[in-house]
Amino acid sequence: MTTAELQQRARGPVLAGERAGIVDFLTTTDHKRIGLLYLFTGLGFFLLAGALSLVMRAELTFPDLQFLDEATYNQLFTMHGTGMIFFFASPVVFGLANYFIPLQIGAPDVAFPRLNALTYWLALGGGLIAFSGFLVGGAAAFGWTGYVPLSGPIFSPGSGSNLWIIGLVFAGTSGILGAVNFVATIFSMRAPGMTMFRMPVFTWNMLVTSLLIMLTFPVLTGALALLFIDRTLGGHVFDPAAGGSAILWQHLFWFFGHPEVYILILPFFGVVTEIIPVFSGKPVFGYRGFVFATMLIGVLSYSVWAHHMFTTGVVSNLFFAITSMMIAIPTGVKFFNWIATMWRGRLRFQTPMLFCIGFLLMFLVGGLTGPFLASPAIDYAVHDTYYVVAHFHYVLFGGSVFAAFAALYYWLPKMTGRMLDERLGVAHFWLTLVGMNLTFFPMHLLGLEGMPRRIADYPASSGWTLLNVIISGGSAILAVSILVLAWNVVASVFLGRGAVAPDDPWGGYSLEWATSSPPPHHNFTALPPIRSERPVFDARVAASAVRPEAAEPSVPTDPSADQETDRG
Amino acid sequence: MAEELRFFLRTAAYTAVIGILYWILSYEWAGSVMLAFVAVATGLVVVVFFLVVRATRGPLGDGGGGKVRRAGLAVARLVGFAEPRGAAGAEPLAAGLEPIPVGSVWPLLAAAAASMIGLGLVYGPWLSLPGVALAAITVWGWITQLDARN
Ligand code: HEM
Ligand SMILES: [Cu+2]
Repeated sequence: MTTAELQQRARGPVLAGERAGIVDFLTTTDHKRIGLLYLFTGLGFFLLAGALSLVMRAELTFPDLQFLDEATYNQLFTMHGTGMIFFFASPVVFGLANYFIPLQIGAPDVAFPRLNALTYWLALGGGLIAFSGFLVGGAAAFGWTGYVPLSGPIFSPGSGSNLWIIGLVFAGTSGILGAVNFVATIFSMRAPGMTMFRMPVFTWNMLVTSLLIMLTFPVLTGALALLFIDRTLGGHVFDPAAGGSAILWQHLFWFFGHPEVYILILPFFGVVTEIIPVFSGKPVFGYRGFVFATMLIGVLSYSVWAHHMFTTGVVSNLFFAITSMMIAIPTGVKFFNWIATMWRGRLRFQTPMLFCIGFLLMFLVGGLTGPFLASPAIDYAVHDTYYVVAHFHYVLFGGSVFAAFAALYYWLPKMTGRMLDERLGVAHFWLTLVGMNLTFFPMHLLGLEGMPRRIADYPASSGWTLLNVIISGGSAILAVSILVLAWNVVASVFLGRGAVAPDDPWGGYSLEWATSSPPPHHNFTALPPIRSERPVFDARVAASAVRPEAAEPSVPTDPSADQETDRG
Repeated sequence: MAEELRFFLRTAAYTAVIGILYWILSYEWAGSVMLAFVAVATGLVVVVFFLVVRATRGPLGDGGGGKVRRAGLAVARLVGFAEPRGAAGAEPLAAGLEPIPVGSVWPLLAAAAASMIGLGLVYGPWLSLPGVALAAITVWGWITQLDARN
């Protein structure tokens, strides 16, 4: 890129190539713009669902009811959970996948561009529909799990509950269509030389995630349709009084719900596996091991669903305890590979790497409470307490959100052509780390002391006040940290104050770094030869052999570091 | 056998085995049916790929060595620890893809129609009937859009 071009681009804010008006975004079929729409929609719902959680924390800071009643509190935790899972985390996954799968495999777009646009608009519509319950006399209030009979016509008569069902059906349909699109893209649009076992790990993990989506979202969508029939057309599928089965809902929901948690973490495992090698100046340790560990987690996740149902007494606790514990094995493999990748590397502690290290530590805490919950004897004691809330926030916040932030700092320069501010990024990282631990760690202790989840108040005599004050303080720190991030994005990207991003700001390995930032409409003007899973690195080494000054100083050139490049 | 095919095969094999095991251990209907669903669905993908997409086929062994070695290699290739021989899996599957359009309003309108139909289920047919009309228009526009440009 010439200096003149750089100067021209430095003038105004840049987003997805050519300046785009609102109509361009409304009618776009470009995977990059759709990716951006997904990402910013996801972040919007993160703010919304996060705001709901702050209201809950304000209420829970002190014993007794202050400004909420139980009914409102129920709506808040339901829509917080629903919003975070279906309308924040999933759209962020789809946004990253949309933007980077085609780039990483050297394709000009996804296989079905218009279907891709439809999946986005369905996801957005679903989110708006589910949340619109707040405007029509109360949103759904039965928890994000929608257990019957609570979610049935007798206990939840309002239309807010129907809107929740419709919204989730939209999210489910959108997910299925998107997954089909990703699989077709990966199978049929790879650039010459990009064999399956040369694909970046993020793309691999999205492939496994897509299969999980394709097989489990239909179960959710079907279950929701049955629930809707029970609620509005007098069906009795889930009504034991008329020969139906309430437990059936739990089976159907969790047959979707457990794979769903892997749908929300496998792509982020992929993100972390992209970033750690680049910032360690080494190839990823055990590429095939990573891929097979992902596949193993994928298949195992089909057979663990009823670990959410231990206390119902009607499932085989032994079967589900064993299968659940087995998932720790491939997950452990990944952890060792991440550590081995960093081992003796030239570590660069920039914001994306900081969030990855935070991810490793925080996800580990959540991962370690998992096997405890998977032992029925322990689960009987802590089921439905704050221990569970602590567990899933460590994996969802400490895992998915940390990795999503890492991805943002790593890839936003590629997507927008602007670097994010490093000092604000580091501040954001430390605030998030401290805030998250203050918020979610004491929940373990509350859970062990027996504080139930999904309650709007607790007696002063319980002795839980101090821990709850700490938790609410921590969530206030988290709120500040989000403001820091928001300001960073607004100032760097939208106000155009960030430094102009070069094509490859980090010394990356995969193909997205072989094109401009942001990429042109059809993604690539030229592709380097693909002979390993690090084509951009290979090209850099080849160039530096011809012209030594072409190699960037931050990239190791000692031969021991790239022994593994000929695999695949 | 191409990686694309083995990818589905592994899930089919695992869920078939675990489904049988689960049934024997629990005699529980819902889970057994769902595991069978996953096994059959992924198994069907394997069969269809194998029959329709030639590029996914290919020999499993390389014909050399003794029986045990050949069998071991075939299993390794099936599971995915060894690369398939020849081109299978190296090249992307050829598929008839639609040309990349410049832009399209139809996805947005399709989602709008779906929202009207969905909300109509909650609020009444006055909303879903126009939604069905919009959906019909959208389907027509969608399938004719790319033809019109070419
Ligand atoms: C922004 C920081 C966050 C705070 C302060 C927070 C706080 C809370 C609180 C207070 C509850 C209700 C506990 C109860 O009464 O049972 C809750 C529930 C929940 N949260 Fe969060 N949370 C945060 C982020 C997240 C994220 C990022 C996710 C997922 C990606 C998430 C997913 C959930 C889910 C699924 C529930 C369960 C809802 C239910 O019981 O139905 N949360 N959270
Ligand atoms: Cu689970």
